[in-house]
Amino acid sequence: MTENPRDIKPSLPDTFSFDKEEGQSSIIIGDKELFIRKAFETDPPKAIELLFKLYYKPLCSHAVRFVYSKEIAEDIVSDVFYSFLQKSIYTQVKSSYRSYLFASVRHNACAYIRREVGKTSKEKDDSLDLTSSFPTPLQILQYDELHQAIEKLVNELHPQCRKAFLMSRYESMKYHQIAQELHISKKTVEAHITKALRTLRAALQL
Amino acid sequence: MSNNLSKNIIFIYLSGRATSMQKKMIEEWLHHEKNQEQFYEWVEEWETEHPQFIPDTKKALDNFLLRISDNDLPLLTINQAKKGPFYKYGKSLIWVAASLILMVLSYFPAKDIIFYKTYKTAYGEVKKFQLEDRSSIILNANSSLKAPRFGFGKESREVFLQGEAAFSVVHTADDKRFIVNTPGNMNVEVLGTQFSVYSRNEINTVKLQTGLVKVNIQQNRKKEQIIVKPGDVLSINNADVKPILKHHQPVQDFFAWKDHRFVFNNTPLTDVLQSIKETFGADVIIEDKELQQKRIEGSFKAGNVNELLNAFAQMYNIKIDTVNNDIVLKMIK
Repeated sequence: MTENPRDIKPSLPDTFSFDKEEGQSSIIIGDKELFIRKAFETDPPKAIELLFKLYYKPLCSHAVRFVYSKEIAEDIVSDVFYSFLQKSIYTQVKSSYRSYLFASVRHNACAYIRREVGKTSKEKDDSLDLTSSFPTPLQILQYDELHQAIEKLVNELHPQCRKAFLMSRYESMKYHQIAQELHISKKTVEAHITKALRTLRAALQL
Repeated sequence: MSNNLSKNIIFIYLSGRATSMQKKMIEEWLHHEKNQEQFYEWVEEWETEHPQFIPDTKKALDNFLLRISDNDLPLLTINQAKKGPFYKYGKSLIWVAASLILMVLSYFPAKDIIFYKTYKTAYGEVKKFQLEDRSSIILNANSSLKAPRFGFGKESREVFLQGEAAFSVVHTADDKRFIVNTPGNMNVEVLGTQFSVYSRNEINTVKLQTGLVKVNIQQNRKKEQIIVKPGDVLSINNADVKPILKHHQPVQDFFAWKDHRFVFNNTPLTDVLQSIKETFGADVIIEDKELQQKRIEGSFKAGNVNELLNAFAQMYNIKIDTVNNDIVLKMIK
C-alpha cells in the first residue's frame, strides 16, 4: 500500500484495499463508496458522516427541483440520512448507497408534494424506507415527469407572481420581507402566493 | 441496443428535453438493474454539473450530527437550549428556572417538592432531560414529569407524567423496571426501550419505536396487561372504553414534535385545533361550517401558533383574524 488517501483511518482491516494503482487524486466514486461500506462495519456514525459529505449537495439540489423550497429539500435529505442510520439500512441495501439515497430522496420529495396537494397516498408507505419496494422503471420516469411539470408550471406563472412565490417558498422569506423587496403590499404578496399555490395544486391534482 | 444508452441522452432527459421515443427507450433500459445504477450515477453527475442550489454542507452536517447524538445517545446534559433548525425556540435558562420554581410551587404541595423533582415545559416548548439512570426524556409542550429526588434507580424507576413525552430508557444490568405512571388508569412498564406516552384530558396513548413495553390498565376494578410492540399504538380512554391496539403505525410521524414538526394524516381540523390548544395554549375558533369539516394533510414545521396557522392559510384558502384575543379562522370565498 503505497498511497494513503487522506480519508483512510488506520484502524481499517488489512483485507481492504484500493484496487487502483492510480494517483491519489483519481479515486473514482465507486471506490469511495466501497470505503464507506467498510467503514459501516466498524464505525457507523463516522461512515454516515462520510456518506453525508459525499452526497448531501447533489441530493439537496435534486430534491429542491420537486419541493421548490431549500429548507424542505434539506429537511427531506436529512431525514433520509437519519433513517438510513437509525434503521441500519446500510446492512440491507443491495444496490449502491448512492442509488438508494437518490431513489429515497425522490420518493420522499414526491410523497411530500402529494401530501401538500391534498392527495392521500393509496398504499400505507413507510416513505423513508425503500428496502422492500424499490421504484420500478415507470415510477422512476414518473418522478422526473413530476419535477419537470412543476418547473414548467412555475415558469408559466406571471413574473410578479412567480417572484413572490419563489421568495416565499424557495427562499423561505416572510411576507413582509417580500413586500418590502418587491415594493408591493403584504396583501398583494398573499394574493400572489395563494394564486401560485392554487395553480400548482389544480394542475398537479390530475 | 437498449443496453447502451449514452450519458448524453440521460442528461437530455434530466433537462426535460427528451422526446417520447427517447423516454420509452430509457424506460426499457431501466429494466436492467445495472442500468439503474448507471442512471443514478449520471443523476449525481448531472446535479453536480448543473446544481439547482448549493447548500451549506458543513452547517447541515453539524446539525445532523447533533440530531443523531440527541436521539441515540442518552449521555447529555439537562436543560439544553440549542440554537439550530431543530431547536429554534429554546428559552433562556434563567426564565426556565424561574418558571419551573413558580410552577412547582403552585401545582404541588411541599412534600412533593422535597421528595420529587419535576421537569416541566411551557406552551410551545420542547425540552430534553436526563434522569439519574442516564435514561433521557424529551418532553413535549405543556407537559410535566415528576421523578423521585432520592433513590431513583435504587429499587425501581418510577416517574409520573402529565402531557406527552418521548422516552429513551436505558436497560440496567439488573433488569430494573422503568415505570411511567399517568393520571389515567394506566402505567407503562419497560426494561429499556424507546417509546412515547401521551396523557391529557382522559385520553392516554402509548407509541412504541423499539423494544417492548407492558401497559398495565385498571378498569372496572379489573386489571389488564397489554403488550405493545414496535410500530404499535395503544389508545386508552379513561371513560371505560376498551383499549385499542393498532399495529404498523407510522410511528415516526408521532415523534415529529421532537423537531417542532407537526404531521397530519387526513386529520380533521377540529382535532388539529385541539392539538394546537394542548401544545400552544391558544384557542382557535372556526367560523364556517364548511371549514369545520376540513381535513389537514401534511408535515409542517412550526415553533409557534402563528407559523402553523399561516402554513394552513397558505395551503387551504383560510383567513386568520384576531377577535378579542381569540384567533378565528374563516374560509376565503
